[in-house]
Amino acid sequence: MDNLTYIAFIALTVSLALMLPLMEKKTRRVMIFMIVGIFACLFISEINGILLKTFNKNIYYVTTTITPVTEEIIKMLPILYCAIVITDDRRTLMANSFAVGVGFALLENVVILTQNVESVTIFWALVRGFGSGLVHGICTVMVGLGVSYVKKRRKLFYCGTFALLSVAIIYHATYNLLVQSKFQYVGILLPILTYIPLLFLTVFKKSKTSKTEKQ
Amino acid sequence: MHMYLSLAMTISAGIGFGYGLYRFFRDESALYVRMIIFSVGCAMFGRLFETLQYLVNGELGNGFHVGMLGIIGSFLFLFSANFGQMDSVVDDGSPVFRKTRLISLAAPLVIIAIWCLIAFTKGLNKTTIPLGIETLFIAQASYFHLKHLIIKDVEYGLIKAIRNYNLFALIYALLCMLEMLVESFNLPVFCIVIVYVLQCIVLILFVPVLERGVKKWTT
Repeated sequence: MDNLTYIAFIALTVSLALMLPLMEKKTRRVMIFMIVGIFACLFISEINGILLKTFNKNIYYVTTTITPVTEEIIKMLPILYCAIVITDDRRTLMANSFAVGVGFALLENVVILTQNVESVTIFWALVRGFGSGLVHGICTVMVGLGVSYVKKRRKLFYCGTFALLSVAIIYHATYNLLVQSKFQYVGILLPILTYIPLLFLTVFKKSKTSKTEKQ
Repeated sequence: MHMYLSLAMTISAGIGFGYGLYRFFRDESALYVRMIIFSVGCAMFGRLFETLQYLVNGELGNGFHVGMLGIIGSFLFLFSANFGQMDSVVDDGSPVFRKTRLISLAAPLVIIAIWCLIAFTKGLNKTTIPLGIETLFIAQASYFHLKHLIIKDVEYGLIKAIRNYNLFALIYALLCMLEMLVESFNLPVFCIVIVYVLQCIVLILFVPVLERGVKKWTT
């Protein structure tokens, strides 16, 4: 059972990778970033294991103070690479960022599922799906916004990215803190309440842009 | 008591942030203004985490906690707005402004001096080191706030219009340091309350004061 994370990683990524050649360029890129997100989760699981040992297996402290920092930094790296090497187009970066976050949450959910297979319920699945899936996605998008300035305005990029990274870490830590407390329902609602207005704004902005383009 | 004070700060920052979103995010507004609004939002998130930590655990605990990143992020946004956006407009790097640059160093020096006072008294430990890191971010932002407060104005009155805002930001930086001071030395309760209440007022008025200045840019 020690290699469970690796087994889940292989099972997920191989099937997703096999699908890549059949996809269109844009969709393929998003899928690649999702696989990168899954890999980031695998990588961080090892680091988190070491950190957990360092902090005397104090899961509560580690998950509310340490892992939000490490996880957000690791998830930022592929986005940074994308912005420097591939494209710094904000929309593409946002989509790729969300894909990294969702990929990360995917493996995390599978691993937690296998570890608690006897106690999980449909409710648990909904909580993990809407909760951690959205949290990882939203946090990576926040960082992606700062990273999009990497080529355009260097001065803004250095400070802005770190500032947005701070917000993402706080948001992630707040979620982790709430879901482990008696206010876990608030924790579940937090990402949903953030996602809905963001979605609304994005759709509204998109329709506004397309209207302007038509005119 | 700390939980309620922290909650008051969260609400104050929330009011400031909400007002900023309402006033400036409907239409395209300057990135400079948006970053300052994000700064207030970041402070709100940080204080929210602290409030929840008090609510769930009853204490913040010694040493580093994620709430500190709220202050760090907040001042990074302020620094980023000034350093990345405004400073290149008001200071072309010419020797004319050398004196202003030197005088502006007073703000970070005062802020670092406050931390040094804490560090010398309490020693370097897991509480004072994270506070030191926080101080560095507050200090670097305060440099630009003082600089933009005293610098000779550019032709369009760009910086003159937002002097009040820079004064407010400088006060906010100082209040954050005073918070560190009163918390570290366990000063009487009324001192703690005064510092927190003043911070609440500053956080609420931050965006409206900026708005008054920014309006002058277009009129």
